[in-house]
Amino acid sequence: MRTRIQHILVIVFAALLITACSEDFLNKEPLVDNVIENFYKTGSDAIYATNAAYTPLQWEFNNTYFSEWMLGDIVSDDALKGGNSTSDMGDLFLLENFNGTPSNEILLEFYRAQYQGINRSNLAINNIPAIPVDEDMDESLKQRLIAEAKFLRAFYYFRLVKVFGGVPKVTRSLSPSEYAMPRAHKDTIYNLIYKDLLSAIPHLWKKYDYEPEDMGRVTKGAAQALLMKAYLYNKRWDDARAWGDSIIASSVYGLNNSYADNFTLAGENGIESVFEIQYMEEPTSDYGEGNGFTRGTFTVILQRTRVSNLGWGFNHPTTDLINEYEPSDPRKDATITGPDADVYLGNGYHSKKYALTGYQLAHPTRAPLNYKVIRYADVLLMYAEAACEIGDLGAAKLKLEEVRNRARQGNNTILPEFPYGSYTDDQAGLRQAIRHERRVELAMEGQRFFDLVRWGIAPQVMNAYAENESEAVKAHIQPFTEGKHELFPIPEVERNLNPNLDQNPNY
Amino acid sequence: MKSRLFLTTLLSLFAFATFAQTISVSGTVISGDDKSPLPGVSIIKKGTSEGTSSDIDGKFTISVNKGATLVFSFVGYETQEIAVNMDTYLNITLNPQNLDIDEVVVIGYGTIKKSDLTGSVASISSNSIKESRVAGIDQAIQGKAAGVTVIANSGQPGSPVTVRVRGIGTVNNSDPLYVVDGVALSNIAFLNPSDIKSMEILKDASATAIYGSRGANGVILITTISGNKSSKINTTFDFYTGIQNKWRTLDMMNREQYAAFKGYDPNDATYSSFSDWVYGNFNLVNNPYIPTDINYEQYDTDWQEVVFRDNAQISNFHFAADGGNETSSYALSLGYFNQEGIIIASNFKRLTFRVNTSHMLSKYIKVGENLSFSNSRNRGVATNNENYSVLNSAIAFAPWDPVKYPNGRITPSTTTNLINPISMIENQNPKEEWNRLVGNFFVDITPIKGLTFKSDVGTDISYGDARNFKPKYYISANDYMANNFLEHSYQKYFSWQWENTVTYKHTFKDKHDITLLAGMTAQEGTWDFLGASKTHIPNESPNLWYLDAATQNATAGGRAWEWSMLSYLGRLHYSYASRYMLTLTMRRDGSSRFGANNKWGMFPSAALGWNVHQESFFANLADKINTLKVTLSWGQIGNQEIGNYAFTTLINGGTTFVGYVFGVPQALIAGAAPLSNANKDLKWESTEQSNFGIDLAALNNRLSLTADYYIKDTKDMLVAVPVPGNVGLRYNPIVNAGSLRNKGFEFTAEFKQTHGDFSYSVGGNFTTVKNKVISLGGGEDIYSAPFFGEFLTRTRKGDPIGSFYGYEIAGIFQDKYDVEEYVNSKGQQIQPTANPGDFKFVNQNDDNKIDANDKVNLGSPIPKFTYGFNASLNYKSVDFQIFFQGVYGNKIFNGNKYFTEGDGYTNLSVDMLNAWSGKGTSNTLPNPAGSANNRLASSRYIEDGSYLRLKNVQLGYTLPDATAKRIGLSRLRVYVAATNLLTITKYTGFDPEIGVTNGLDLGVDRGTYPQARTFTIGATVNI
Repeated sequence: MRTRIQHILVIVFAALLITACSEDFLNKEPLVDNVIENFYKTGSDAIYATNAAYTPLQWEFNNTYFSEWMLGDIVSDDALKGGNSTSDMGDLFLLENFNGTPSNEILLEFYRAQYQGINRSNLAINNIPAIPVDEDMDESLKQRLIAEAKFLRAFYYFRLVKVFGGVPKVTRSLSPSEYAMPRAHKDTIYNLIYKDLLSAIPHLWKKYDYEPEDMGRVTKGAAQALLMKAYLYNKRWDDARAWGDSIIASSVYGLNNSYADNFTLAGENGIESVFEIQYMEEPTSDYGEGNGFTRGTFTVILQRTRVSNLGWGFNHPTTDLINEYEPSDPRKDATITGPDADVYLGNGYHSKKYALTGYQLAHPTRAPLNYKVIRYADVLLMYAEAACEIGDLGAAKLKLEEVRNRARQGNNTILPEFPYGSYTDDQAGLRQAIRHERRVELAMEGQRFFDLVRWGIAPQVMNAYAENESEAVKAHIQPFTEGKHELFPIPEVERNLNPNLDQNPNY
Repeated sequence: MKSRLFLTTLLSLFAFATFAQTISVSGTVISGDDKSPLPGVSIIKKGTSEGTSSDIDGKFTISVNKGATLVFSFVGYETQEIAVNMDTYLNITLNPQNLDIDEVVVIGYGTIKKSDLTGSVASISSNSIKESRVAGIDQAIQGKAAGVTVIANSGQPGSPVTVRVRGIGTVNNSDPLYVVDGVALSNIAFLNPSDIKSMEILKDASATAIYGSRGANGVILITTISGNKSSKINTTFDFYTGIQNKWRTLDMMNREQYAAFKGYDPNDATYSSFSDWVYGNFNLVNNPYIPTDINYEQYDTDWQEVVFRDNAQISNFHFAADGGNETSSYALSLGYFNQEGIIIASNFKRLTFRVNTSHMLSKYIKVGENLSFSNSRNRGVATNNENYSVLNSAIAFAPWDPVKYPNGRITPSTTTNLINPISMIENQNPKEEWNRLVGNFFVDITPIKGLTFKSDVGTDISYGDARNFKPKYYISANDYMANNFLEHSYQKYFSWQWENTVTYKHTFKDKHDITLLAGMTAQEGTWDFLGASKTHIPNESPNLWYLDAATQNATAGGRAWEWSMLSYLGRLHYSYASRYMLTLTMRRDGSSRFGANNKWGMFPSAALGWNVHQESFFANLADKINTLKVTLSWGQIGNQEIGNYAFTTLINGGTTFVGYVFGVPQALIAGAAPLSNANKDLKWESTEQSNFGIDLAALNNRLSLTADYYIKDTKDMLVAVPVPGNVGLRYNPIVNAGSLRNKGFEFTAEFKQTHGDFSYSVGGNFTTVKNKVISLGGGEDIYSAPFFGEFLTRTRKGDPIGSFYGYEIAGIFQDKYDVEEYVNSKGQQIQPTANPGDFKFVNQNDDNKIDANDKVNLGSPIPKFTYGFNASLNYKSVDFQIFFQGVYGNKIFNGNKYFTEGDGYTNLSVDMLNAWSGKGTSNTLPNPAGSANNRLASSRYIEDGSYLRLKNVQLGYTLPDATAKRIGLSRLRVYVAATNLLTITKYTGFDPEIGVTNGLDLGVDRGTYPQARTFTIGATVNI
């Protein structure tokens, strides 16, 4: 009997041992991932947090469908969707024909992706100030990182406000009771954009102050140009022009000698580049959760011609755009290729700027070409537009001529200096000439539709364009309804999840 | 296991009795049901450990003291005690333990007499499991027990099965806990069904609360084979083999029909031939991937025939032996299962070994182990994904496309961007292998009568190995690999558990039976993953599918998690004169999955039982009704299946999802950000369950009935709730989000009868489940099941969980007037942009448009009731079993229709020949060329998912004993059988058994791998 009791005692004692250390036994710190309580403590944490705020810039196509050109070009009079059939990325087809509904997945993924960028920017903006400087981060770098995040937040909001108008204004991590946030007024969002950029500009570095390994980070010039654009979108011409002056006076930027060099690998981050989204060679297939969120861009495979360049043939330039070019404008050949065999509903022409022609992709679907968000030529044309609207026609003509002069590529028989053609030498004529110049200079770069909307001429232009389209294309196009199609519908899924989100008018 | 425990108890009870005067007694033991001799019956002198066992003819001889009592026992038969007086020859008839109310039932951390049971427990016999002839035990219990719903997720061999006990208890993980020989496990894929001795499903709170935070979804207790105490060695060899086939194909257009649909007119002079039309109409002339000289007229491919495999093989071998003596017993087995899938290339193979032993070290110490090893290998194919599935692709491909061109290259689609299903199979080589060791070691100490101390150490060790090789190939612009690619990963899971329990049983004054249980358990699990990939293998031979053979683009990754639990448990069972029973249980669980504020949870239960038939006032009914028991139980149980670190917000570091490209030259630079938000105040989800049950046996125990009514309320549900995009998260955070009620009736009935050589039994079970969301804690509706830009299901207060939401269809606009006349009460047009041939959607809110506010509840994917019924007949040597299983009242979202009744860029169902093509042509099938809105989630996709399936039918023949003996066997049975022979359903997709993708994504058919119809022949040999 005694041994029996001993046996039991040994086991009971061991059991009690486990019990005694129970609190330790039940504390399992997460493996692999850091916990938020231990993060945002050091300079290197600050750098990582800021880097993550850049990531959503790259997201496109799968699950986070979006590239600027999908809405900016295809929906506009510049391009048709292309692809294999009307149902190939059918959501885009519906949008280009003003048939889009709130269930459109492209809009949903776009909306969600931008807010992920905003959330990460918020985390950097709100957490970095409390991090002490250390060997990885001095005060100047600290201020710059906060400023980078502010630029990014402004950039994501600018994308949202262009597409949807006012959206929920989120400037910090939300607690569950705050999730269902109503839409802020469009002006509130723009005020946030101005404020972020104004406070970022003093702390951002000029492009040439960065080390080579930091190429691609937000620069002072990028923030100034985005601010200029935001003012332009709100017809604050004096402010736009003033920031244009700052950019021009910084002497950081100029125009490439060759227009086409903007869209080559060698021309990446060149003198004309004010802000671009960085992409690099993507040599491996998806591994783990790759899903198109890494390194390379889908834009190249999407825009390459189907037959001669083994692409997917999206973003077809319209005849309307081709006709916009002046005779022998070299920019046309740099922008448009073809005619090539076409699948349906097109004129056979394809987009060239992002086709990376002649380059063998290492990855089936992803390519290394950076996406140009703001070029110096855009800055000059914005400047010209602002000056023209203010009434300083001389300054406007100067900047317009700077752009046209580069476009000539030394051939003085083409692209005459303003006034030319049917344009009258007055403010109205100059306005028309600048709008024409914007269309051809920035064609297929995702700007056109938003330009038409901000100029208030989208209904006339889009409906006139539709009239001249081929019968086959016309059969699908719904009329552009004024007061409706300037904005896209708030995604149905978002309105399900956040019942305080109002729908845009007439959807 | 039960008989062992029983014997141990008996032995210790009478260890000190002594007798004198020895006589020799001999005799024969026969079986009460077929009068055949019973070999291997244990014959023990009561109060000693001495004894013998019957020989192959059921004969025995034993020396006993006069006046002693002999105990005859045999697995599956009632134990009989005979006092030895004058007779020296005994004819003993052992009766099968059929409806014996004194059957012992396995419950959590112990056993109990069935008559004393107060909880709701369903038992499934090993025979009934073996009859199913499937790879997994979970599949074998489909339709076998009331209150247990089993849904095959996929017909893919080796794929998991969804098991639900008493409805869907939570929007979260609703899988039951499996306990195999005492080891708690979350999946039992390693188990060979033939190794199972008994299975008990614990359903109500009284039964499951002893498992605390893991009991809310029910507990399935499995006991595997054990040895016997006779010196006789029983060996059994089971074998079956068979063929499997698809049981249904969809009726798609053939070449002529689809070509005509796409506008081909043989009389049109524009095209010189059919091939010319294909090249011209689909712009293939300059397509570099398509040869210029294909004669499309010679092809009319039936793509379903291409991807389905005819006569896919299935076979199973199982060898088992058991034996032992007074001090040691053992059971061992070897099994091999091999199944080809009915979709080409898919297959599953599993090898299993098992050794279970137990040993009496002394009269009061028993040690033992149960050890199993399994090796499984499988190769899967892509299914159940609306964007990438072999079946979806097969029904969508144009019939004029050949599978491969004459030069051997796989064809791209001529009509759209489809990927050839053969490319999904041949250009992927996913292989998976698992090695898994599950076992436990135990010590039982019984120092004094009635007191048992048990210590048990169990472990589950799994190693997984997955690899995929993709060759370099070009099929089309959207299906190619510029370089070949190899990925290879290992993962290992290690968990251990240690349980210590003390049980004390005592009877006071003959009437008061008390059983007390107290214990503690600790469990810990760790998982670790390592994977790598590379490209550019110079030669694509399988011999080189190793990372060192690849030359470029090396990547590697590794991750891990761990969890732990510590618990204290206790149970009191009290019975008064076998008439009134009370059971109280309590468990306190601590889990690493909760934050410091909510680490511990307490889970109590209470139950009462009354054996009415023991009452004196019942005496005059006792000859008609053998048993009448009523039980009432209540308890609270928990659920902790929420992921390991949900209590804290994690910072996702590295490059995936958070990296960005910087620098000259460019490089991918790491970043860090949270991808979700944690909820520090996350508390335990708890389930409160009440149960009322009645057990009845009548007509000499030939008829038995069990009925239960239960209400199961889940509170503080832990859910990953989709949050608005403006929160900016990549993954949905987990919150305590409200409560859910499941309630229903469960009935089980069985009737048995024997007339001479003929015996039969019929039985059935019937379960109703009513599922309702009581509240979402003030939260918003939960949207789930994404499908082409919409959520298909909503979880909303007052509805069943995960109900389908979509538009109601009122018909089709026949002409312009129809469109114009479709107005609301203010006279505004509702669908002004619709064209004739488009759907007219019901405008639910009388506004002037169709939008998400017009979506209504279109039904629930949860069946109103599920049922199974079986019959078995025996006549002399012939036996016959038949088993039906079914569900009723659920809806399925038939996602196939998105393609088969789609826009015509992919092949269509022949039904679409009757689609709208002009006024009056159809009011149900819209113009395929019409608005994209026609494809929105609507009542057109919702179908009745009820089915009745002849799951199993089997005809067997057992060789007469004499004949069997002549060829040296003790028993030989051969049989033929069929599975899924007949399915009655209105559902039009491939199969009405639609699995669960995750949580609330129920009943959505995204191209599910269908169940096979199987014919098998088999034999069971006992030596």
